[in-house]
Amino acid sequence: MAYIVDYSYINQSNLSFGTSSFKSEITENDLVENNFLTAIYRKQNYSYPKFFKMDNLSKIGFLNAELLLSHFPEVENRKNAGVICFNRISSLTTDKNFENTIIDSNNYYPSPALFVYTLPNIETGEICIRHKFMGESSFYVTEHFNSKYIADIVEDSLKFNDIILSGWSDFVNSQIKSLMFLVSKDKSEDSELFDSQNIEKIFKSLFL
Amino acid sequence: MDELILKLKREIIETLNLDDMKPEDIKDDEPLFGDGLGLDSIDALELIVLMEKNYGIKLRDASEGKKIFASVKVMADYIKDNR
Repeated sequence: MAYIVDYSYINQSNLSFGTSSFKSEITENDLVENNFLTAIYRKQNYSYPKFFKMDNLSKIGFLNAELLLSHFPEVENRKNAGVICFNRISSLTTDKNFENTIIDSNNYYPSPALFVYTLPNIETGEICIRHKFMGESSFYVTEHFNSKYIADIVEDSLKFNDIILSGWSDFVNSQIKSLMFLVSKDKSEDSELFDSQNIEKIFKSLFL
Repeated sequence: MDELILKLKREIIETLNLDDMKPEDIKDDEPLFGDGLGLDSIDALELIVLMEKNYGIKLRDASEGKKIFASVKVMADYIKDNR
């Protein structure tokens, strides 16, 4: 069995982010000198210079993990903690950005910093590096937010990991929609089951 | 020379996404790698691309970078002598 410890989300369409118990919003003023993700980073006073070098997918993963794990410091450095992420468009945005550095033969300067992010599982790797997770790290690309598929994969992984960060990070009409769960195989007093029905319900309450 | 150093600092900040830094935060003689700006191996590759793209200087031997990227001042000297 798998249980939801907490969840975090980032929703660009209404400029909101938070967890189950905390909600914050980015204002137009916050966006004067920052893009949406950097505005969240600055609003939360995070300090991790590598953030600025990440592509958007990894930034989303980083921010979600920070939002979640700041409330659960005991999860840091867990040997059997894993990260499993899902989305629809893989690393396509970064792939295109990289392609733009090589498409013109007269201006052919492949960017190493972009190239390293042309795989979606770099997002899970960045989270593992940041929080010293040494369990499973994997990324799945699916056509849509498939709650049953996500629940089955995560539940299966909990046979080998004590705790899993698992999330969906995607872009709809260039707007970020991301939801990440902290999932445990241990039940606490008020934890809900991490099953298809519950995660679908949370996803719809935030994004539909 | 001072103009070139300032231009290089701006380019380094932009190319390496050092968003929290301003040119005045980078000292002319400060090491770019290790204890200085804390750049990594991907940053070194980006600097090699920067040298070629912005100054037409192609580093044939990647190990040269270790000496050339010792500091912004060393980079500027190298550009001045080789562009």
